[in-house]
Amino acid sequence: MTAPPPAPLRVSLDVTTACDLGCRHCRHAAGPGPRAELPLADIRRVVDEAAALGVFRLAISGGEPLLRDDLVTVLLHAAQSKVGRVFLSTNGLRWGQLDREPLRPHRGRLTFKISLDGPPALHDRLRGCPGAGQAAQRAIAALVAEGFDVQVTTTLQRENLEGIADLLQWSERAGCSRHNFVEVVPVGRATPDMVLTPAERRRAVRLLGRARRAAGRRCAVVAKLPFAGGTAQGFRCAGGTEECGILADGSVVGCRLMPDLVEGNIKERSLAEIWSAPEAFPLFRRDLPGRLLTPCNVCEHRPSCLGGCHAFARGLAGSFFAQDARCPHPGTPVAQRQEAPCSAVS
Amino acid sequence: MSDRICGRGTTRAKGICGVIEPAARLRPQVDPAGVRCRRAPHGVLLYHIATDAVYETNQTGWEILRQLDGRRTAREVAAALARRYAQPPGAMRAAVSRFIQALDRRGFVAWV
Repeated sequence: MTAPPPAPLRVSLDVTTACDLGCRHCRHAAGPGPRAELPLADIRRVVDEAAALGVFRLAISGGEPLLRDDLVTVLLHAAQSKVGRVFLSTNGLRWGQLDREPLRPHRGRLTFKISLDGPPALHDRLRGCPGAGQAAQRAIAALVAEGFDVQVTTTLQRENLEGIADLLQWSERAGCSRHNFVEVVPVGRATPDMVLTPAERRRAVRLLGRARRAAGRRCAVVAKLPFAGGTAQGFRCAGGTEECGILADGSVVGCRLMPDLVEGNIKERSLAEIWSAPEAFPLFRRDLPGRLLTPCNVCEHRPSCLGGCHAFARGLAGSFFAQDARCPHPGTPVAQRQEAPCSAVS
Repeated sequence: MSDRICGRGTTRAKGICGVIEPAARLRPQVDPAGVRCRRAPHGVLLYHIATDAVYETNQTGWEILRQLDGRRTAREVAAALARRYAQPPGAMRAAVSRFIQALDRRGFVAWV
């Protein structure tokens, strides 16, 4: 039995399942209706536990966290803890209801991550809510004006690819510190047909490169497009080894995109106990890379990429151990190829 | 003490990345309140809260980091470490300079 890894670097905490949007690509299928919410006492405790473990990044998410009446208390507690930095993921729709005054002294440790998928009309359509785009833009502008660190997160879909450059320029002008581009993962409400095709991914990479060069340097650009460079380098699943998620019912999971792979519940055991249990996170810690399916099980890149994103593989191919469909390596073992497609990768 | 300093990390910072001249008068400072540290398999993992940058360094780097208090120049830090560990001053100066530059690129360093 291998020793458990050191404490997680990043912990994601879903404080509610409720959401006021109905995004068609939502990874958690969040929306209106009955909600699960972690009680405030449990949140306080688990934040303290994460701080004691030495967690660097605490990401507060949902659902829509702003639907909680006590969110300011949650944020204050997190910002005053020994956790490194606190991130709040929100759609920005209800930003005006958030009492930001008590948060001002903690601006240096708090980042707002606001979703914006395109111009307001397109954003509204993708997010299933009229007015959501303008609300997000207003939230971003107001929070930046108040001196908060604001990042934009865009979920790349075929409908918004061509607007990448405009979106990035908007973020830059608005004063955002960073623009994150992520892909649709076929989990939750997102269906496999929403996943970008290889040609669309290549187009996205080209457009992102062009947009990055055209934009200024004030806003950092981070694109999470695994395998987009044509190699396995640069992406490795951190679930259960460097990060974990806590769902709104208290379940601890290696990856929030696979909410059924539960390792324990913070209402029953401490985060430290769950994380460091010898048998915890077996798929992530014990079974990878040994149980990867063909072609990953014979691929020379297996030690570096560990098969890619397992939620993506599961969503498309039905198995945690299947190949991430975005991987550029065909189904032939590298040793049998005439020409290795990316021999530079060791 | 090894004269080789290893590190790897991520950054979103675009801080100053100039060559540290031996005669530079500015003094590098790493604010302990702005950094979280924890043990890593091969040394120490550093997290800079303001820039959200993570950097892993070995014990030698950790030793240098603790000297960056804003009271000494990079050259003085290097000289003190060279004396302490009986290393050639030139090699130590180059090593310290490289390490400070790496930290600076990630936004860890303030110049006072």
